[in-house]
Amino acid sequence: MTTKIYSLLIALLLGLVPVFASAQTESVSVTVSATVQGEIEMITINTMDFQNIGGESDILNINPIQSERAGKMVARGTPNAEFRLNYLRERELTNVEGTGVLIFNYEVSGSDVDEQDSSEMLDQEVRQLEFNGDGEFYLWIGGLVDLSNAEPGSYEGEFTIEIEYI
Amino acid sequence: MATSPAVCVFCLLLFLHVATPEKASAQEINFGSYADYQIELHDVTMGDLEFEGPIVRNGGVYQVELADAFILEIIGVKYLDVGVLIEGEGELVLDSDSEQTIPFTLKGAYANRGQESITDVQPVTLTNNIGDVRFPILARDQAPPGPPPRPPTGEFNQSEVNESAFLYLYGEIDVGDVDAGFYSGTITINVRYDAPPESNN
Repeated sequence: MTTKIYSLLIALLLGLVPVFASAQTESVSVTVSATVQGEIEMITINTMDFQNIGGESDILNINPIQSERAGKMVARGTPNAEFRLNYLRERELTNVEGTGVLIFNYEVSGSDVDEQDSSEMLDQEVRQLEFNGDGEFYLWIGGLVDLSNAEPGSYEGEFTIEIEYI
Repeated sequence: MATSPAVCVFCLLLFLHVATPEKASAQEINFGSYADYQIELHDVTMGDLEFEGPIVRNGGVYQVELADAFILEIIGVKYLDVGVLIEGEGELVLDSDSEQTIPFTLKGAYANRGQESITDVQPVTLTNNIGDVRFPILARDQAPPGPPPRPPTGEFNQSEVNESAFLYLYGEIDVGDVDAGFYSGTITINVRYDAPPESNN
């Protein structure tokens, strides 16, 4: 009898407990993002210096990593952005005072710090590189030319380099 | 006859219950409320909805396609409906200058065939990047709804009746004459059983 009374009381007590029925809502936030790249600038700081470079050899060579005669450029873009660099390794130099051409073989080294002797030779046709935190990347331009069959005169030519964001 | 301790306790609780001022209401059964069933949300793509570069000034429209969408996995009781409310901002804002913005158009879709697949997704209609949709966690095709779920008790193991549905978010931006930099915005997703939560916007 006592057991039945206890059971009845427990049942009644349970009946007094309010039932909370609420719809549970789960939420999540998603970030949408896009990085707009800045325009890339190429600034020439020094041109290659061939003044009084002649020697015993007919081949003139300016090492872009080691020579003070190397040309220097800085590329400016979006900080830390990756870019692809490509340049024409072989270009013709034309004699501005007469006939004849010379073939100049460009060599380029690069670094994200302004230290020529620690720069890396960029000897592949296409390289994937990265601007530094200030959005800069330094380039040193050298190369070699064979003067053994060159006509006397002054020669000039172009250096073409392409940089685009990846 | 002496009153037993148990009876005293009962009388006290009954008194408290009656004495507590509560809003009087009739008893009702809301079949749309599933008190203790859990919903889990998982970021399948493990990242943002990111428009990948190179993105340049005046570049025009850039898209994130459905195949590259941000994917949210919704895990819940497979024979219940969920309501999903999606609220996305209409612009991405430059982190350093809130005046610089990129219009953003959000698109959505869901898949509820038990696996993450874009082959049979259903579109979610969004107006001004806001919209809601209701669908069963597991598609019922043309069959009528199944029996009501077993009430969640101590013996109930929800994982045995769970299934995954998938929500896909993608879209496009239109890049005009804006400054370079990092632009971002937010999409908020609310999910619950039954009807979608109401928007605050």
